Amino acid sequence: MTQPSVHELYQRLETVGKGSYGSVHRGIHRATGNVVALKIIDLDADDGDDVDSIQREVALLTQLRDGPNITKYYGCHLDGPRVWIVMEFAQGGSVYSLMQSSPNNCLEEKFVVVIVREVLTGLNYLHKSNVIHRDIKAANVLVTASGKVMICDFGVSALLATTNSKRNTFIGTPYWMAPEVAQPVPAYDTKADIWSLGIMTYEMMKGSPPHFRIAHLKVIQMIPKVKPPRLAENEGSRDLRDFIPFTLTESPSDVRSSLACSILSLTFCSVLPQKSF
Amino acid sequence: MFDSFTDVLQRLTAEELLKTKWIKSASKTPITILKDLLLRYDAWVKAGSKPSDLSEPLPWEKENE
Repeated sequence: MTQPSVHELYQRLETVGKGSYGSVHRGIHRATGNVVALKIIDLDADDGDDVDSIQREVALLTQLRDGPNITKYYGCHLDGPRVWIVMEFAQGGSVYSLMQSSPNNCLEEKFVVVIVREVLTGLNYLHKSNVIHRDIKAANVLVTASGKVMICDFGVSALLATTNSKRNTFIGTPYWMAPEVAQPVPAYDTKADIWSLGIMTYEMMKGSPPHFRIAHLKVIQMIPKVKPPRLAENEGSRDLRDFIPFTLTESPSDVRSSLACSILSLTFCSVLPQKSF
Repeated sequence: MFDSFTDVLQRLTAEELLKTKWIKSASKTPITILKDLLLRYDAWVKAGSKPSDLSEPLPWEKENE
């Protein structure tokens, strides 16, 4: 018996997003009439290993259906040289588009702190399930009509990482990349998402990520060498400025002396609440 | 130069970050505050600013035609 093709299962409607990996569309599940998001990825590959690794990745993603603040994952279909990932269609604006309609492309801190809190709730769930998002940025976070915050595209980045591992392709967008990821051999763990969230916080406050006018390849070379970005005194509250270094951490050679190191750890302890563990 | 080992260790986890002072400062702010951003966006779109057009066919669809 042959499986029905994805075209028989879903009708592709208008394009709602495009990236280097492929595109995102609104779609209809023909059997139920439900609206879904269809992510179509060009694999550009003809070896069977890819199919195996995709299926492994899919098995992992299927367990994530009901996490907080992440789009629901429905399934995955092969269509010739392409993969269709079927996900919940979250209606709303990306945080990036909400920035575009704001003065100077910046969001006020009272909104930023709520968005960061909600993204952290979703990331906490993903990370405890051992899933790394790999592409956290304002464009990949949606706000729905009720104000719910949704992290999108985690399936896409995980799948891309699996299928591209042999090709040594960078996943993610350079400006949001952690120093350990911007390396000839990138080292990924869940902490890479935390760095990207720090950059996204900076992005929402300032209108764009650091080094935004510098070309992609050059930024990748710069990130491990320059000091992590910080917000200036007039660019956010004290608590926000204290928050940023927890995400955009300095490497020890940046912290010039052991004295500075101990001051850093003192601050660290006093800011974290004592009891809630 | 970047020292990945210690740098990454120092970086807090999502769970730890949820307990920082800045995030706690908003613990009573409901997500409905974000509706203000959606209203601002709707007004911006009505005023004629539109996100770029994405409705043209995909490259592989063009090839199939």
